[in-house]
Amino acid sequence: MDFNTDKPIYLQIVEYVYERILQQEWPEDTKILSVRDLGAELEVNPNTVMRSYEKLQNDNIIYNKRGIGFFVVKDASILIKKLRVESFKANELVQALHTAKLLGISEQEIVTLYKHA
Amino acid sequence: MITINNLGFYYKKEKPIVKSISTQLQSGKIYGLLGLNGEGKTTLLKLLAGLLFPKTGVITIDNKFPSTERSKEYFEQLYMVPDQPTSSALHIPEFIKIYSIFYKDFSHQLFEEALIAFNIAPKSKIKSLSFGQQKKFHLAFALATNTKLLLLDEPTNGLDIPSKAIFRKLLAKVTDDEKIIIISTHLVHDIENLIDHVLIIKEGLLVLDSNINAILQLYSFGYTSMLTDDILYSEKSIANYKTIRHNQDNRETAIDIELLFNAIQDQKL
Amino acid sequence: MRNTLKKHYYSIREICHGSGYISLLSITLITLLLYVLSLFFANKQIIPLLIGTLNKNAFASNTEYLIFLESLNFNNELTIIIPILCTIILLVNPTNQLKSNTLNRILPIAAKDKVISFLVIIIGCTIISIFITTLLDFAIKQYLRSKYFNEVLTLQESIGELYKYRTRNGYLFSVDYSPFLNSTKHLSSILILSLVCNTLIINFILLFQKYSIIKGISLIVSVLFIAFYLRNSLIKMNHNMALEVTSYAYETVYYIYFPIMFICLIMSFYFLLKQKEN
Repeated sequence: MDFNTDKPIYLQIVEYVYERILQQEWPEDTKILSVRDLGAELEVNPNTVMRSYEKLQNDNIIYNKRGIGFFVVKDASILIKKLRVESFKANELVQALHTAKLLGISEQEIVTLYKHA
Repeated sequence: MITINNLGFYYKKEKPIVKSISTQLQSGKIYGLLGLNGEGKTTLLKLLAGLLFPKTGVITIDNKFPSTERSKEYFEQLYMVPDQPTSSALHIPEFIKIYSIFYKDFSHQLFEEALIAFNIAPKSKIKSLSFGQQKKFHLAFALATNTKLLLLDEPTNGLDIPSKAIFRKLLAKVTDDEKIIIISTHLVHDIENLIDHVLIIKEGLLVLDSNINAILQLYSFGYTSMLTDDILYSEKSIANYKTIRHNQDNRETAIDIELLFNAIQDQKL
Repeated sequence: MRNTLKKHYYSIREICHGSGYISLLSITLITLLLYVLSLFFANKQIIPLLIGTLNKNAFASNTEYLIFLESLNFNNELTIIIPILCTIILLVNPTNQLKSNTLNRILPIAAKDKVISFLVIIIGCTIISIFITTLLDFAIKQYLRSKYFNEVLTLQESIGELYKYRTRNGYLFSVDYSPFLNSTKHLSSILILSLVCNTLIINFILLFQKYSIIKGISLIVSVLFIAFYLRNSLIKMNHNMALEVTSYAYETVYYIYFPIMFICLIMSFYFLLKQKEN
C-alpha cells in the first residue's frame, strides 16, 4: 500500500507547538500565544487551533488558566520527546519496516543500517 | 444563527438560479461557499444581504428578522463586500467619518491596523487607489465593522500574494464565537485553512453542506503512484495521483478542498 | 430626541457628502451657473451693461440712448425655476447611488429615515438656492443702479424730464420685486413645486430599469388623470367660447393637487427603498 497522506492541520499545529517548546521559544510555565493569535500567525482557523490546544491539554503539554490563557507545563520538553518517540515508533517506523519487509530487506541489513546511521 | 428555508430564486422563471436551499448557519464558523461560475454563489450572498428577495422560501436571522423586511435591524447585523466594490470619491478619513458611524461595533483600532498591514496610505483618495488597494480598503473596513454576519464575495480576487496572507491573518484575528463569516470564492487555496464548513452549490442546490471534521471522518485524502479500486476519485498531479478514498482506518488526514470540489462536480462523491 | 436628531444628521451627511456633492459651495456654484444661464435666455440685454461693453456712441442720439436705458426690463420670472433645477441636479447622484452602490443599499438606515433625509435635503437646497438667487438678483440690480442711475437722471434732465423716478429704487425695479420676496405665497408654492418635482425625479431614477413598469405607467396615468381634472375644473369655456381661469385655480393647484401628488410620490419612494435591486 503506497499512499501518502498529509497530517491533518490540527496535528501539524501540535507539531509546531512541540517545536516551539523544544526550541525553548515557549518556555515552561509561561503564557503561550492565544488561540486567536496563533491562528493569525499560522493563518488558520482559530477553531482548529483550539482543537490542537485541547489535544495538547489532554497530553499534559499545556494547561489552561481560566481567564488568562494557556501555559506550558513544567518539564513539557521531556514529555514531548517521549511522545515523539511513541509516535515515530507507531507510525513512520512501522511504515518503513513494513515497506522494508515487502521489499525483502533482511533483518541483518536493518541492523547494519542502524549501526551506521 | 441564520436559517435558510427552501430558498428559491430566479430572474426568469425558466432559469432558476437557486432551486431549493435549506440550511442553518451557526455562529463562530467560517463558511466557504464554492461553486462554478454562474451557479448561484453571488446570488446566494445577495439574498442573504437582503439585496435580492427570494421567490420562494425565507431567510431569517435568529428567527427574528426576515431578509425581505430590509429593516434597519437586519442590516445592522451584516456587512457585505461585493466582488467589485464601488469606488468612492472620498478620502479614507472622510469615508470612515461618514460610514463607520452606522456600525456601532466598529473598531477604529482594527481598521488602522488593517490599513497598515495592507500597506495603504491612510489619507489616500479611494478612487485613486489601484483596484487591489481599493479591495483591500473595503476588506479592512468590512473586518472592522465587527458585524455578526460578514459576507465576502471573492475577497482574494485582485490581491497580490503578500496581501492574501495579510487577509488570512486579519480574518483569523477577527473571527469569534458570535460571528458568521461566509466567503464565496473560486480561489479555494487562498483560504483553505480558514474554512470550518464547506458549502458547495451546484445547479442551484446545495450538494455539500458539511463541516470539515465530518468530511474527514468519511474520507481520506492522499497521494499514490498507483491507482487502485478503492479510490473514489483521483487527479493527476505531476508524477502522482491525488486521491480520495473512504476513511477506512479512522485516521484523519489533511483536507484538499479543491480536490473535494472537483470530485463533487464529477459526481464521484 | 437627541438620538433621533443625531441619526438623521448622520443619514443626511451620508447623502450630501458620501453619495453626492451637496454642500453650501456646490449649491452656490450651481445656482450661480443657472443664474448666468437664465440671463442669457431671458435678459440678454442686461449682459453688455454688466460687463461694461455698452457703447454709448452706438446710439443715434442721446434720446435714443435714454429710451433704451429707461426701457430696461429685468425679467425675474425665469429665476423661479432656478432653485428647483439646482436641487434636481444635486439630487441625481445620491439617487443613483441608491440604485448601484452595494454599500448604500446595505447601510443600516431605516427606509423612513432615508425618506426624511431626502426631504430635508430637498427643502434645504431649495431654500438656500432661493436665498442665493435673491442675493444675486439684488446684487445685480444694485450694481446696475449704481452704474447707470445718475446717467439716466442727467439725460432726463437734459430733455426736460424731472422727477420721473422719485427714488433710486424705482429704476430697474425695486429690490422688493423678487418673485420670492414678493409674497410668502410664492415662496411656499416654489417649495411645494420643488418637492413635487424632486420626488418625481427620484422616483423616475429608481423606477427606470426595474420591471416595475406597471408602477411607472400607473404613475404617469395618474398624473394625466390629475391634469385632466385640473384642466376641467380650472379652465372653463364661457358662453363667449373664450377660456377663463377660475379664481381659485392657484390655491387648488398648489395647495391641493400638488400636495396629494407629493404624498403619493413620497409613498412610492418609501416602497422603492424597500424594493430589491434589479
